[in-house]
Amino acid sequence: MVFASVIFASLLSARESDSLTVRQTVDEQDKRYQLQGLRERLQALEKQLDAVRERSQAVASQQHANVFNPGITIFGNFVGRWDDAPVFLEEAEGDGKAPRVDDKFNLREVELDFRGAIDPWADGVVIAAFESEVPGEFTTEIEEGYFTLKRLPVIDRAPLGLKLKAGRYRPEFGRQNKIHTHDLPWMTRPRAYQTFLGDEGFIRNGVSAGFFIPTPGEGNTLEAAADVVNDGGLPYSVGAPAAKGGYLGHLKWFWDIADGHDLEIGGSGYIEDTSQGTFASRLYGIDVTYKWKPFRGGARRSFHLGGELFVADLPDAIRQDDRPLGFYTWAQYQFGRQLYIGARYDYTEVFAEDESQDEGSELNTLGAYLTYYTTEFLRFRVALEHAGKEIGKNPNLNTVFVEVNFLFGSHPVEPYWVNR
Amino acid sequence: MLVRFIALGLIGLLACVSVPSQAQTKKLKVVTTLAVLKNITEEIGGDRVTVDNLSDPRQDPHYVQPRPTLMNKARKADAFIEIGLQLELWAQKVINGSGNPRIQLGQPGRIIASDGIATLELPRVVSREWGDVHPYGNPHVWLDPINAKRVATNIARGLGRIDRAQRSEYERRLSEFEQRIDEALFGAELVKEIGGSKLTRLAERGRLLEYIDNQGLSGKLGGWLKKAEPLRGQQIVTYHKTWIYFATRFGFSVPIEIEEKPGIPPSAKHRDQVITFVAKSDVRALITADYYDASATDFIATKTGAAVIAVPIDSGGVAGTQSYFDLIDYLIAKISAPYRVSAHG
Repeated sequence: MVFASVIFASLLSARESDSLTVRQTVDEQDKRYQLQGLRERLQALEKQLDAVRERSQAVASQQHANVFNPGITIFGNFVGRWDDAPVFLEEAEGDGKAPRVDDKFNLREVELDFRGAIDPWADGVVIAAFESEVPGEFTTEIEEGYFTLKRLPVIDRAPLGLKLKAGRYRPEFGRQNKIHTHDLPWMTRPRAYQTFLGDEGFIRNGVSAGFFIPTPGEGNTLEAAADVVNDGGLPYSVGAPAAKGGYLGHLKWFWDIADGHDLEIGGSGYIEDTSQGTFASRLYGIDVTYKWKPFRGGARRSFHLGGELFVADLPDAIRQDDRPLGFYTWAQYQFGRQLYIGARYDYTEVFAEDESQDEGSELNTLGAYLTYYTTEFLRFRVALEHAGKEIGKNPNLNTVFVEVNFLFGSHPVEPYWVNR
Repeated sequence: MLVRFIALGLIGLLACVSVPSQAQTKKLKVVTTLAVLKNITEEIGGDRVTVDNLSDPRQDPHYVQPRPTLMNKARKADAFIEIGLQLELWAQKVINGSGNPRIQLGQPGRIIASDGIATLELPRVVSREWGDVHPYGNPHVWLDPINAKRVATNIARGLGRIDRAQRSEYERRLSEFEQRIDEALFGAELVKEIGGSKLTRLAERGRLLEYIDNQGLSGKLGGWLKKAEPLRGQQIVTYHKTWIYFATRFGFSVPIEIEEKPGIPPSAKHRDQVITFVAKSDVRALITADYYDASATDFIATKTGAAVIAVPIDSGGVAGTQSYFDLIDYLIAKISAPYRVSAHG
């Protein structure tokens, strides 16, 4: 009996031991399977990670390729006008007839703006313009193409904040000359600009140096610019001897009067150097702008008041004892984040090659406008303009303008808020 | 004659030797785009720097007029510090106008304070159809105190690059600033218990509360996170996409903005959608930066009974927000007020 019990107990014990061994084996196998599963999962995750890395590297390399492209912005300016009398362009076409431009829509301008860093020392800007005075007919030009030096190659510091620029550009004559047509606060460039500097303003090939002149206190600055440019050929000096080049100087005093209030006063002078070695004619300008834009809520309230005066000093050969002048004054009030209302008065003494035709003539223009921005990239404008006496054209011409301005592309810092 | 030459030569040599030592004692001129950057730069630079801020804290930092007076300040700067991420689009115009080669992009004097910060709301599609999108993510990074530490690190490294002699001093002051931020954010007791670095890591992974709960340390949570407890889990409507970093850190969500799209004022239809949402949910506060037009926000508030909280996002915008610490204190107090009242009431 005892023997049988011992045998049974040992058999039981052996069975339990076998069972334990089997359980341990199963557990080990489970762990192996689990481990195997985890290994496979880890391998799968590593593969996924490699794939993600490859994709991100591919994207990064694509981005790196793109970042060397210049920032590109395209501007479109679409205008409609309705007049109470026929309006003809001054320039006649091939058939000798000057085209009519009244009561028409016109894609007035398309500009392609390219800008970016050239290297650590310089930035480049090229602006190509397609312009149209007669609907559907475009002229193409490089409106600006210049580089600016950010660092001088030899010295570490730029004395007086010296900025050097060379190429084709809009020199700093007056306050608004640097502004392109699509960014003007008005429908048209002031008549004084058109008369003295040309329909598109003053654009020349040349070199420019700009710098600060030290002033007492930090609330004001005095900036100077000096330019040497090619050619004369400005509208105001028609008939003058061909100019070899011109010299331009500009001084701008800016004063932060108080928080949100500032005043800018500028003076400009331009002298043409004729091929005879004498200075043919001179143009002077003064500009004054007061601006209010409160710090808090400045995105929806602002006020501008300003004006510019131009005086030409022409050689006797062109015009005896005559110093024609022109000026404009304007005001603009912003009464919402997106709405602006403004008015401008222009006065210009008109002159042409044939002096007898325009002796004593003058042009007065009064206009008002309402501007609505959906965003800074899309602008609608309605304007009324009354033009008074103008030789060879319609006296007392009344015009209604509508304008849509749009832009898309990269977002360079300037010039969207110049007048906002 | 020879003696004179030697004497002059020695004087010249001494002058040359003395120039670097004068330069070392000369303070760095720093220009910043935001007042919070000025605050943090002064914390890091101490008396080694003089800091001039270009914007006014009452202004929308996206739209500052690049005036010649700002350019003239930047002209004299050894360092120009900006948030970056296309927040201050006007800054490049100021730099271009300054003619200062030391602060051009790529130069040691140009310090981008947001470098290395993992931005939120990174757009999947960069298109103007989505309004004023920021291609590199939401730029209002400084409203998260943990990001302020990263900003301070970038400033310390930047100052150290242009003033190597004082690099260790900037690093020392950086450590002090980080310690102060940690204590202000988590509470001094918890920082002492766990350490600022670990708390920061946990907070960045969103596991801080779970961790301190598991460790039985919830009672030791202090600072801004403790003060902002009433905000935790709440929904708050904001005017602009300004608050995502603040919301993420202090535990509330922004289910909808009053602006239809960034930079686009709300249409009547969108405004009505916001009203419907606020009325149906438990939204008790509408936050707007105080430089925005409040008319739409006020209208929604009158229709729903939610409180309008118009606050500055830069230090010095209102009294009592002169430092970065004051600003975060102020924001937490103001934004949590409607929730604290209702919790007690």
